[in-house]
This record gives sequence, structure tokens and C-alpha cells, in this order.
Amino acid sequence: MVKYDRVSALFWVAMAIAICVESIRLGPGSLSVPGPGLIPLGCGISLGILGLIVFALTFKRMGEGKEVPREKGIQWQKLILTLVSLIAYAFFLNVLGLQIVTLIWMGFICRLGKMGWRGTVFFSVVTTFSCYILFAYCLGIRFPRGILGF
Amino acid sequence: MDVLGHLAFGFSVVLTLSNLGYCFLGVLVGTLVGVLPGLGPAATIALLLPSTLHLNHTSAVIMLAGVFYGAMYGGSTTSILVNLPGEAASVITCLDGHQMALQGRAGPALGIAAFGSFISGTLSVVALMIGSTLLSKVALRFGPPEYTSLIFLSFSILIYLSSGSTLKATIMAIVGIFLGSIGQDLITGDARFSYGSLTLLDGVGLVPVAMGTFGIAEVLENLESEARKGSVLHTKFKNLLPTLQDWKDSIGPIIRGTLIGFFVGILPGGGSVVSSFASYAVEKRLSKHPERFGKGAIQGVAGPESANNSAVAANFIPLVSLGIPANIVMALILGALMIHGIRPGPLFIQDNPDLFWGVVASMYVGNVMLLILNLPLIGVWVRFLSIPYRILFPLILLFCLIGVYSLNNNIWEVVIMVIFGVVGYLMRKFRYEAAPFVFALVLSPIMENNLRQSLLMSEGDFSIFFTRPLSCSLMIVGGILFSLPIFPWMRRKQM
Repeated sequence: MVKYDRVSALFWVAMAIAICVESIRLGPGSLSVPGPGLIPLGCGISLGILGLIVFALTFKRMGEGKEVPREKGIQWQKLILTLVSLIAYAFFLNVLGLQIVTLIWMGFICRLGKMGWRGTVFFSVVTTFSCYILFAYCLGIRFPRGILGF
Repeated sequence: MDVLGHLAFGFSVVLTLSNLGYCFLGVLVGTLVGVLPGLGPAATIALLLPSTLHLNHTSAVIMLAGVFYGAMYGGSTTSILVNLPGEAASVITCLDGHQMALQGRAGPALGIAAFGSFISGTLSVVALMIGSTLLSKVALRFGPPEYTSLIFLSFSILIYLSSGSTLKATIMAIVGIFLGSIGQDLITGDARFSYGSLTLLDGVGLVPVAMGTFGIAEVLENLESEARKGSVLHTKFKNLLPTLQDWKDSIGPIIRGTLIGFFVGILPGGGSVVSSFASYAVEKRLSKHPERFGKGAIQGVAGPESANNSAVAANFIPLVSLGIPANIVMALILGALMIHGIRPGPLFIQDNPDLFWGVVASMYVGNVMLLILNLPLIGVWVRFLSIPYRILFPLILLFCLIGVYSLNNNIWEVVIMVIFGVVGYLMRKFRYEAAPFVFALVLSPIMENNLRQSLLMSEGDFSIFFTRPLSCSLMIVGGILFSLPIFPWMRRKQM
């Protein structure tokens, strides 16, 4: 956990510097006439100080007991593919329309979750149909028509 | 008498087919969410936020409130049967509830949890009616310095009560405040941290952030490995009605739990989790046989389950009277109201009587629905625990996708949601809590607005927060809570 905390601490310090630079550019104003950069500047300074404290404390904790082992067995490929599929869904929704993109995406995600082919097809079709009824018909949400035209 | 008249009006609002339907949908989803470990009321309300855009504001809040208190009912089921809390406020119920189940008394445990929740839920709604109207009158004396101080107190309580590191919770709150400042400055109109993006000019957006941080991150964490958690206790529920002795043992804890839950729930930062723990501690302290706690004492179920339900109604008081959410769930409900262009505050009840009294009346109706749902249908709810996660997670993700997209038909908001899904996942890995972060995101614009107004009033003099009595009291309490962790932290070198 010490290494994780050190990494996060450095991230916060870097973020704090970026926030402070931009806040000064925006103009913090003065206390009597606060400008748009005042609150972000306050956040940046506080974040930087706390980040440095976290970083400093990791050195004090190094001698205390065993380091928590890094988590093993994480299915990184599954996580990354899931995230990429979410972005792909959003981008292809405009092109293909709700029904087709939902059907394809559900099929992909179900197979990623190791569902059998029959279950995948059935579940994807039922979910796509239910989504259309619930969101487009019942709630009246407008979706891109896509290549099917509805 | 005035209150009764308003309540009758509230019933006329809720007793329509559509609002009854939304109330039922809310408590049904809430119970399901409470039963299923992994997805709590906060994440569910975040997922439902986009749907509320297409409802009228009264129906939306009725439904979301139903999800919240429904989850309190449902959470006890898994605590008792699986020793796995369905949501955080039912953690303490595991201690004695599961032991009762192992002793063949799952029925009375489930029964007293349901009845206790019903009694406390009903009583606390009465107190909500009276408390809100009283606090609204006090809130009229609140100015920008008092609001700033109250928000500071809320942050202090939330950070103090965080289960992990206080330092990390503070960092999360600061990051949340910063993210809330992204977009167009309300006073000067300057674009802040938007870098030319039209999406970011409107701000980061509560819905994509909440859905990413709670919904997507939760799914990613569960997808990491395929370990199955817990196994359902297979038992026949012979008798869900507690015996006379059970009632004698439980009535005191139920009443005390109701009071504890209510008063803890009013406090900004207070909520169902804290109240359930407080109730358990009180019952154990007052019991003539404290050694029985942890081994199947029915008081250990009755008190906490009553407290967590009572806290739900109490949580609404600071929201409707002051416009300040007591916890993350209330922050999301505040977000839902703001989506509909409603800003709670001292005049909220006066300006939106249909909304306030409709929601109050819906809580009475919802509590009755929950009693019916939770007792005879226990067997049905238990079956839901057997649904494989590979069926649940695609539905959760799809709900997130369509929900966020439907807000503004903007794919970039989906991208923001995915980014915060990764951020939320990393937060869990690095042991940072999401609640202070999202809480701060919601309150950031309110806090900044009031802080800047206060500084304008005082011409930059911070003593304005200490020269006004109410503000000074809030600041002092907040300051004490904020600095308390420093002392054990320095002694024990804890981070």
C-alpha cells in the first residue's frame, strides 16, 4: 500500500501544480472581490500540501510491518475490453442506431462474461427489445435512428 | 391541524395511479438493490437519475425516495440469510441476525426487521413533517455565511466519519470541490478548465460522474475476479411473525432505534450507517445480558434496523429546509431536483407543496408496500441472490450507457462517465472513498456561491464567519471535528 500511496501522492501534487497555474491565469482576484480562480487556487494549494503530507508519511510507514501484496489474478484484459466497448457503444450509437448497437454490444459483453452462445443470443435479443420499449417507447427518449431508420 | 390538512393534500397527490406506480417501482427496486450485494442505494439512484429527467419532479423524488428506504428493508434479508450485508446500513444486522438464522430463527429475525422498519419509518415520517416546517423557519435566518459554515460542517462530519483515512477523505473532498468549479463561472461568466470543450463548459456533470464512480467502478471491481461471495442459507421460513416474547424484547430497541436514527439522520454527514451502529451500541449498553449480543440477540436486529429506516426520513429534513444534503444519497436526490430546476431551501415547502407533501405521504404508502413486499415475498427475494453476476453486470452497464446518453444525446458525457468509471475503480484500489468526492461535487457550486457572497459582504474579511452567532457555532463544531483526527494521527503515525 505504501507504493500505491506514494504514486497517488505524486499524482495529487502534479494535479495541484496544474490547477494552481491555471487558476492564476484565470485570476484569483482578491478576498474582497473574489475572482473565478480563487476557489480553484485554494483547492490547488490545499491539494498540494495534503499530497506532500501523504508522500512524507509513506517514508515514515516503510518500517511498519509487511507491505500489502499487490493484487494478483486481476483479469485486466476483461476490464480493458469492457471499457473500450462502452466508448465504442457511444460512438456507434449515432451510426447504427439503438437496436443494432445494443444487440452487438450485449452479445460482446455476454460472451466476455463467459455466457454460452444460446444464452447470449436470447439475452441480447430480449434486452435489446426491452430497452427499446422501456427507454424509447415508455420514457420517450429520442435515440439516433441509425441505418434501420427507427 | 394545518399539518393534517397539508398531509391530506399530500395523499391526494400520491394516491394517483402514476404516483402509486412510481412509489411501488421505487420500493421494489430499492428492496432488490438492498437484497443484492454490490449495488447500494447511492449507485442505484445515480443510475436512475437520467430516467427522472423524463418524469415530473414529484414522481421522480417519490421514486428515488422509495429506492432509498426500500434498500434499508431489503438489506436486512441478505444480512440475516447470507451474513453478507446488502448495503452498508445493514452491516451490523449481520452480527445477530445471521446467528438467529443459524439457530433456526430466520423467520422472526426477518419479521422483526420488517416490522421494526415499518414502525420506525412511519414514526419518523411524522417527525419529518413537523421537523421540516420548524427548521424551515430557522433557515430563513440563514445568510451566505451560515450556509458556508453549514457546508463546512457537513464536510467535516463526512470526513470524520469516513471509514478509511481522514487525510484521503479530505483529499477527495478537495478534488470534488475543484471538479465542481469546472465550467462557466456563475458570477463572471469566465470559462474555467473547459479548454474549449462545450461539454465541459456546462460543468463535469453529476450524473456521468456518479454513474461512473459508483456504477461502472463497481462493475469493474466485481469483474476483476470470478470469486463467488457467500452462500445462501437454505432454510424454510416457518413463521415470520415474531412471538410475544420477541415483541417484548424488541419494542424498546425499536423505539430507541427510531429516536437515535432520527436525530443522527438530521445531522449533515449523519445517515443510516452511523445510526445503525449507534443503536447497536446503545442496546448492548442498556441490555441486562450484553453477552448475548453477537450470538443471536433479537435486540441487535430490532434496534439497528429501526434506526437505519428512521434516519432515511430524517435525512430529508436538512435537504428540504436548508437545501443541504445530509449524505451522498441526499446529494444525489438534490442533484435530481436541480436537474428539474428546483433548488431546495427555506422556501422549498412553501413554493413546492405538492412535491414536499406528496413525498411525505408517499413514505407512508411506501412503508405499507414494503411491509407487504418484504414479508410474504422473502422467498422470492432470496432467489434473486442466485442470479449470476454475468447476467447482472451487462444490464447495469447498459443502464449506465443509455442513461447518460439520454441526458443530452452527447457521447462525450458517456466518455466522461467511462473516465470516472476508471477513476472510481482506481480510487477503490488506492483506498480513496468516493462518497466525499461526489458529495463535494454536488455542494461545490453552492459553497462557492455562498463563500464569494460572504466575502463580498464582508469586503474580504473572514471574521464574518465568526462574528455571526449561528455561523460561528457551526464553524467551531466543524473545526473541532476536522481537527480531532489530527491528534491520534500524530500519536499513532496513522494516515
